[in-house]
Amino acid sequence: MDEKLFAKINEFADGELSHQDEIFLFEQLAVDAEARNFFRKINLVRSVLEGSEEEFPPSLEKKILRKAEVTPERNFLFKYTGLAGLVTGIISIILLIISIFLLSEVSDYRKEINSVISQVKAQNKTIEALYNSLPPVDVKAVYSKEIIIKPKI
Amino acid sequence: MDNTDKNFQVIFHRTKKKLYNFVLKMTYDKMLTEDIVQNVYLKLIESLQNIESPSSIDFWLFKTARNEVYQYYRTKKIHIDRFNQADIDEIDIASNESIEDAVEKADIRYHLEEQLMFMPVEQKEVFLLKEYGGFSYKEISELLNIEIELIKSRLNKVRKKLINRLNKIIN
Repeated sequence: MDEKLFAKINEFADGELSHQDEIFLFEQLAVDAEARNFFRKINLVRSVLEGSEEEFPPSLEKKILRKAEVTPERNFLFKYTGLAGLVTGIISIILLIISIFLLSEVSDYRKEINSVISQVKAQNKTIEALYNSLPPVDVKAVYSKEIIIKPKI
Repeated sequence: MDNTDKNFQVIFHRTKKKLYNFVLKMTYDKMLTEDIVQNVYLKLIESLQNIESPSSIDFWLFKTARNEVYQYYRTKKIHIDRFNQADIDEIDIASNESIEDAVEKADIRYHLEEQLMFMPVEQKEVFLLKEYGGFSYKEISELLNIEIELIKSRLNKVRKKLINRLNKIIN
């Protein structure tokens, strides 16, 4: 059989033959018994092998689908990848460090303020104690000078 | 269930049978096939968001499966077990065919699969990608990184061998 015709039959079986070549092929098949026989056998091979396909095992299907449900959650943290994800991650870490630093600073200030308040309170008590320790003071008027009032007419 | 889950399930149900059969015919080992197919789908889940177009998913799946098979061939000195003789109890008989036809077809299938099993891997994989993967010459060419003419030539060789075997059975 002509190699060209053999190739055309193969291409037809693969669904890769153009419409024009299909016409040529069927014209040739009509006159060439050997090619017809080959064509019939190719189709037989295809139909036999098509029937040999095995079903997908249900146990494997369950296993894969179960893992498919778990895997995205596991990968949630790594969902956003690439440069944008990297930049976002770095910025988040920097912000976190700044937040921790500010929090520790605020805590220090709070301690200082508390100590100042307690100092002020202690000083206040001391002042009160000092006031209370002073003897009582009597204020008396002195009538040593006269006050003369003159009318201005 | 989010969009990724839905997409995965759609892809999985659409491709599972053809991918499973492709790997099975490449390895002729059910346990190994199950491991490889499982790995491929788990890798798909991880890579699903990075695969740009939905049309390239089949391509990605078969390429990954092929790589896994080759990796296995490379790491283990694999011995392919002979394909079991078709069991008469396992033969499915379509309502429109007789028992004799079904048995004959099963017998032919056994011989063809045996022939396929002992073919060189590079010829067999082209044939399986065409028959089970349903890829075009161009897609197979991209997948295997070889010329289209070479694909045609390999497919022709496989078919010639299968038909020669068929002739022996019929004669």
